Amino acid sequence: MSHSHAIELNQVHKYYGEHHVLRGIDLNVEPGEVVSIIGGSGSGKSTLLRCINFLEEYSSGEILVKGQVIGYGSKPAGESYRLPEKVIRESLRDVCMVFQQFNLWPHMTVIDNVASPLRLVKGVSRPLAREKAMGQLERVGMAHKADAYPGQLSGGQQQRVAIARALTMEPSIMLFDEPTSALDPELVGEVLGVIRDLAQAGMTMVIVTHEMGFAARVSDRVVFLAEGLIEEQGAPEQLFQAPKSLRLQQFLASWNERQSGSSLPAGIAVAQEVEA
Amino acid sequence: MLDLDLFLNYQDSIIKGILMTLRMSAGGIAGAMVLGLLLFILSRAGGFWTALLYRGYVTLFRGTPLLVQLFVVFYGGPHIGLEWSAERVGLVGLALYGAAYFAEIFRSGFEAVPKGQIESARDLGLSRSQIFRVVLWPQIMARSLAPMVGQSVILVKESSVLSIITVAELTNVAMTIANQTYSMMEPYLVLALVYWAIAISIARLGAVFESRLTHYQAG
Repeated sequence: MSHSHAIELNQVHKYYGEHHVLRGIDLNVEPGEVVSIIGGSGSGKSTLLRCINFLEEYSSGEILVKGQVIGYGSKPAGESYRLPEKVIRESLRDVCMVFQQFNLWPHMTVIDNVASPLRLVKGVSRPLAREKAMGQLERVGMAHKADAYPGQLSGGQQQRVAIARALTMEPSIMLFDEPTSALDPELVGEVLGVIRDLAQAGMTMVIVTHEMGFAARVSDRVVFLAEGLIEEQGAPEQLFQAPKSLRLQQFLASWNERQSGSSLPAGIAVAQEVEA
Repeated sequence: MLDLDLFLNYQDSIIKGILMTLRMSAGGIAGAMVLGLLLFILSRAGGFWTALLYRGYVTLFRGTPLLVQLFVVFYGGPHIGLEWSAERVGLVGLALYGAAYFAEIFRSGFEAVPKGQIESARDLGLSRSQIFRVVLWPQIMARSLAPMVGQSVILVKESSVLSIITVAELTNVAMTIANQTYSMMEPYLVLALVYWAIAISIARLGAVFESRLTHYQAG
């Protein structure tokens, strides 16, 4: 195989029982690219992200990370089978996810949260794991809370620790599943700042988000998902300023309405807000 | 008035009875914890038959009286070639009975851990056993400790039922003394005091562990 895509999705379908959540997604993400996925609730955007790192099994089609099929192997006869969890995780070593609910482990201190995966998964010695973990905590501005427990931190601080924990595994691809949706409004900025820095550092990222302004500012490409299909995609200025499909126009209009006071293009208005 | 001479006369058998109660309780609790943990792990293994086996075990042992379970093994056992001493039936009976409760305590402790914590661990590449050992088990223990203390106290008290199948533990001794001397007050008062003392000791011990295991929740 000769493709150099970081992530490649070919005709990915996902069913929950009868419910057809993803209806044939084709999407390529190039190395170093930042792709934001937007869409209403139930559009399948989180499911799509969770299929990439195989927290959800996709029903058909294929997902490749760096040219390698994720989750399924094929027998000589052609039919596919689910690979053992261990093999799947091995093939996803380059991919780390940041979750809406942070998902830190509450019984461990910040430094243990960040250092122990490195130690457990890659067999790095304890002192070296701590050193690397401290480096990433510094990067997200959380080194001073290394000995605190997650329950003692604000949501924004917990999310920054979760980002440091993912970064410590040295992935080349990061997936963000609504990373600011569980945060109080005044804490959103600190997390978006960290993600923006990562984008500038050249990290390949797929970000599911409701923060249109942020998506407009950091993304190379924005993908609008509706009812399990990619309805429209393109550069942010094109997508936000000249949406072609009726669905996207409606989506942006209703989003804009909720951000009372600002006028279209919604995304750009908030982008300036975040900058200030 | 209390007849204190009675205690002196029966000093030896009272002490033996206390020791037997401690032995039955400690053995029963330890066995119940280990077996309960194995049952809990079985319930987590996935699959239809393991789930059915787990449900069957738990409903059977929680749904029937300990006394009846002991009768079945002690009096029914010999019919299928199981000629166990009363002490062994008592120990195994307490362990089997308690295991059903401990397994459910562990299971509810597990259910209380948000599943997102398992997802982040999987995403980071931790193996199943690492997730259990590092992420889940410490939290399950922290959440299970208080109910485990309660269940342990219940098992100590339930060990008095072993007197019926002739285990010479404290309740059995007290009944014997009462029968022989026609004194009801003294033996049963001692009996109550000893169970109470054991219960308090377990609760104190549990409190020490609990403060160590749950310090992260202090905020």
